Amino acid sequence: MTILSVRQAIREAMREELLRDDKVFLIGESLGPYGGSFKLTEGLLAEFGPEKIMDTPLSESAIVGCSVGAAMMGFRPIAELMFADFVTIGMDQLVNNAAKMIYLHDGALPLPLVLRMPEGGGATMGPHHSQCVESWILNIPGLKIVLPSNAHDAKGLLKSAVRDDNPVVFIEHKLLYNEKGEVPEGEYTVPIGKAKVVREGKDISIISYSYMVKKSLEAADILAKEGIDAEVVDVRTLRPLDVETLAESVRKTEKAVIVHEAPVTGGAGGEIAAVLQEAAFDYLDAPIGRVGALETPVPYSYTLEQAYLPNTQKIVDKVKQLVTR
Amino acid sequence: MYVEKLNPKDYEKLYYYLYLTRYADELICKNYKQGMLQESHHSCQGEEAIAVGSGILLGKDDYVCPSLRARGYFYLKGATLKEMMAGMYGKVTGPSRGKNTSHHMGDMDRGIVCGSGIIGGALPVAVGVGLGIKKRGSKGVVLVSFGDGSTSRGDFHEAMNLAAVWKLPVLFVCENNRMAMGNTIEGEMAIDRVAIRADAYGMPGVTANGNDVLAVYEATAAAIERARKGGGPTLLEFTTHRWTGHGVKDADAYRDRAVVESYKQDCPLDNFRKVLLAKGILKKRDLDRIEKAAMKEVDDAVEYAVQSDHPPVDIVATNVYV
Ligand SMILES: Cc1ncc(C[n+]2csc(CCOP(=O)(O)OP(=O)(O)O)c2C)c(N)n1
Repeated sequence: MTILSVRQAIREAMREELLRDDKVFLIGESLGPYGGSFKLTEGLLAEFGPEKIMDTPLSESAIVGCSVGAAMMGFRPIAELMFADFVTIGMDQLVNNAAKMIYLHDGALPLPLVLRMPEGGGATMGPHHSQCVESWILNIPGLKIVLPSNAHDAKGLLKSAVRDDNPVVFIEHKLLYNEKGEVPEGEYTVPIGKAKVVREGKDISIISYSYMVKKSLEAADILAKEGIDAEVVDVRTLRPLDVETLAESVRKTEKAVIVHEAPVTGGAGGEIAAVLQEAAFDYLDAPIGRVGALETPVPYSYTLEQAYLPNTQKIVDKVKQLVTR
Repeated sequence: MYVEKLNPKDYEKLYYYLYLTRYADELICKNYKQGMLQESHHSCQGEEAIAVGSGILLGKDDYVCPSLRARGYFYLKGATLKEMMAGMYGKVTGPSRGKNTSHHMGDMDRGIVCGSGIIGGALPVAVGVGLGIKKRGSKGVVLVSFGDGSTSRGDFHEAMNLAAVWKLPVLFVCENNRMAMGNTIEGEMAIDRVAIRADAYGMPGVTANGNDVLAVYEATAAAIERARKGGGPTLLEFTTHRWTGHGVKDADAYRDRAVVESYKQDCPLDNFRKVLLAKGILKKRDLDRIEKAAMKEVDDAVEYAVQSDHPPVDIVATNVYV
């Protein structure tokens, strides 16, 4: 085992995949000499050269669309958007080309592309650089959506994404980049489509993903001191959703709260709640709770942004409300 | 020549805002590094003449939508240094009580069009403001500013085309510092002048020295007159240099230090000072007086920002809808 930050883990995954498969290349803005807006690609230009580390003009639609075309030609682009918020500009290419291309060829054409992007607030970066976008993309069959919460999963899931023959949207959280964790020394992958119980408990299932897994674990620690034994499940992949792992946890705890950073309304939590009541209705002992951001744009200023975001205390409060009702 | 009509008061005003923009930026960078500010900052040092030389021409009925770097427009269009600075500090006295950043502040009453952190995203909105001006039958214009890198966005091309087809009073002002974050202009476009993009849309494209405030003034004045007379949009390209990293956190390690240092020989403030003194328009003691006044306005604004309160959390969910 070695200790890596999420940033290092993602960089290693890209590096190893570039070394493993000549078809892999990186495409995005200021990846080369600049090293990426969050320094994910630092050092890669020197090692792989500009044919593999491709800096584009400031053109998100072209980044996504060009990745689709290159994937149709048998290459395996790893595209980066500087901020997930900019996916709106690449959205047409993502939704109307990337997501449909395999189906429109009736499965005869693989479309191996990865679209990486950092999302999330907490850094006073303002309303256009802090949003969570996964539920904007969730309603699109044909895309896979992966959101790692730690260094181990980030590396293993990204390697799986690069090797996947389907388009994968790989959503990182900017507050996770400096988070360190244990990562195996050698080659490994983490399968797409598998959730993971990251803390066992018997009283309630806190179901979460990305940065909010950290907050959920903190909440579970606080709850433990008050005699509430919470299980924490990391969804890891929103599409395809690992219903069985989530349902199994809920069948055991009989209660669930879903935590994500995006606003509650229309968030992925609604979808997860729906599949859980289908899969585990007879076991549920309380309504399924949801914790998310307020129903506003992400405010810029620190005090407002902190009030807007879900946090450990909000999770604790929601859990107590469900457990003690 | 429009410049010939400038009187000494105009020259004072130009110098005042050039100096104020520079000094404010230096303080912002310094205080940011000391961890006092919340807003990400993109320095305009070395590029001040563009916003000041064009912004000074905007009147009450005109609108402006500044780029991330073009601070001078705000000051000239009636945003106070105090509210801008309070915004940088994330205070309740900043734009929209801390909900918005200062560099995207919007206030239609003062003719300041809310910007977007999505580069290029403000351009179609500016075209809509131009449409509104035309529909109202006003003689106003709207000036939207952006960097060279922004011209790679589809929104730029759609906005340029629509403004030209409908002959709207829009000034597209490109601050060409030949950089877009870590990318150079060669990696951004296969042409050597942004202004020639105008040909494709049937509007004039003009390139002028962005480090010469009078050249900026001259080119902008002509474009404004054309727009006010119903002649439609113009693409103005002002050449300049980026003195700092992209943002205040960027160490700028990917550029040759000697080259970046050489840019400082072409300082828009020095350039203007030389003209003012050589032509005897202002004396050294006038410059000193103007600088002092500008520094005081900025220092007072910092003090105001520091003293202001943080936004109360109970406003967070207000005014999502009217
Ligand atoms: C759509 C979009 N893509 C990328 C970014 C990140 N970004 C912010 S400024 C910038 C460079 C802009 O270059 P340019 O337009 O030339 O302006 P300059 O910074 O040189 O003043 C980039 C890539 C963004 N904010 N929005």
